[in-house]
Amino acid sequence: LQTPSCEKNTSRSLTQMENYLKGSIIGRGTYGIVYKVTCLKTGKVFALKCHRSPVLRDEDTEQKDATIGVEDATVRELSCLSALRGHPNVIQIHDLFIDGENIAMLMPYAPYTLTVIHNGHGLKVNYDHGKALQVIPLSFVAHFSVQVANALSYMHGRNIIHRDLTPRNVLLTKDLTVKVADMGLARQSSKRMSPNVVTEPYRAPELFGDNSPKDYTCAIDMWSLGVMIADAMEGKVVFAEREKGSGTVSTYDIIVKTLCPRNHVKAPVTSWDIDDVMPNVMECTLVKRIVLQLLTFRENERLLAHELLQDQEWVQAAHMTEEDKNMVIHQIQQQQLRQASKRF
Amino acid sequence: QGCQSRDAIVSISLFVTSWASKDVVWNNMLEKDKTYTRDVHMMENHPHLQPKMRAILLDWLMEVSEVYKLHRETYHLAQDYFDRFMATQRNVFKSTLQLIGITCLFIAAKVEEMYPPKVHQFAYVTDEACTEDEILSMEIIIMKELNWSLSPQTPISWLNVYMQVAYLKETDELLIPRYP
Repeated sequence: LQTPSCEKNTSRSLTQMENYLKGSIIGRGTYGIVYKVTCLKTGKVFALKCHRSPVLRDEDTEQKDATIGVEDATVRELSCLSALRGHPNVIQIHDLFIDGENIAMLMPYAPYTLTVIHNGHGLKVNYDHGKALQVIPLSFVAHFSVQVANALSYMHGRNIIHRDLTPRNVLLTKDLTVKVADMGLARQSSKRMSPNVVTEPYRAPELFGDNSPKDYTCAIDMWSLGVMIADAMEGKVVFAEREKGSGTVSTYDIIVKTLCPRNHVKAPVTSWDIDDVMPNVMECTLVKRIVLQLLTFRENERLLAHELLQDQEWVQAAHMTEEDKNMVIHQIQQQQLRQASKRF
Repeated sequence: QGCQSRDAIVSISLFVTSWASKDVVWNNMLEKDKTYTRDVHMMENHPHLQPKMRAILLDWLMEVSEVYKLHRETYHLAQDYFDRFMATQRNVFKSTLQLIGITCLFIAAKVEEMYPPKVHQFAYVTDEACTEDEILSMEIIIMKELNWSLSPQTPISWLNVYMQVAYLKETDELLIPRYP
């Protein structure tokens, strides 16, 4: 029942939000807060994304400058979501509540996110005695990447760049369907754009450098997708900055050392062996082929979303059996339990 | 037939920007022009206004864009918002025309600019004709009325594509090995 209702119900006032019972906070960011809410009439569960709303303000969110009107991020997010209405792998807006400058978006509730791939092991856990145990099937890695590519191909065909593709922003429904969310940084591509986008470990090499406006394309989203596949294979954030020897190695330095071609102007003096940085990726011929086409240092050599979808071998690998799905859902629930128990 | 060959040339040029599938991008651009409908008789809804007033308003918005060094695309977005918004309204008075215009530019700047000017800067250029509060409440009204459809294919973005085609002709050969 996903009627994208940007069209019809844009003018409801906050009073009708009383039909929804506010539950726990399920996400927060610079944009505001996302609550889990229950419709009192139907009992259905939704996510309510509140952009700096005084009515819903939590004690610990600071009050922002009241004189700017609707946040730029909100304007762009709603504009992009309205352009992407109806795609099965892009989050849809059920309803919009407006009160003065405060805007709250009612969206379907997705119980999981792709952060499940950061399980610390990758596809397999090695037990001391006995053989390696598969915890995340390869089919899931292909499955999520194909669905994300589906969403990206739709966005990029409309000239929209997401600009913040991370596991946190890739939501999963109960049956593991991908919903790409959080379009706060998304925009129509243009000539000179801010390079200060994308969460650092997922940021494409062409975005690093000084803060001056840069020309870049939707290929930056494809890089982020490549990093997410590598993350899933290794079970961790592969390009997270790390301690090595006496200092820290930044995300950019790791990228340059492992992926910059020798004949490139930015080629490093000493490079790292990619087999050490992403061993599981390099071990699997198929994944290696895909990831290395996405993580190309030169943006014009990078695989585009519709090209990835034409890769028959990869698309076929994306078929998940019921057993595969249960394995992933079990893994997610274990992780959610662990996180919940850590908190208290 | 002429249109088809134009399609072919422009499709080639879209390779250069390496967005997505060239045909898809091209078709979406054409499609967008159909979904963002404009009404040529829009001014007839507003008996209190003369067509000339729209021209004066747009000239002024261009001046404001220049003062705040806004991108060309920003101005063209504002013009699109203004025309489509006016088509949804009836009997707009001359006194609100400037408010609608400046608010359209205010919204366009948020959509397009890296560092959009603040609302007080937009209020300032109206020489006290529009207050900040008026602009802020008009902002929501316009965006709602436009159904948040804020990314039209503007004339300047078409021109951009045509310029690429013109440029492409000279460098045709360079592109062949790169995109066989």
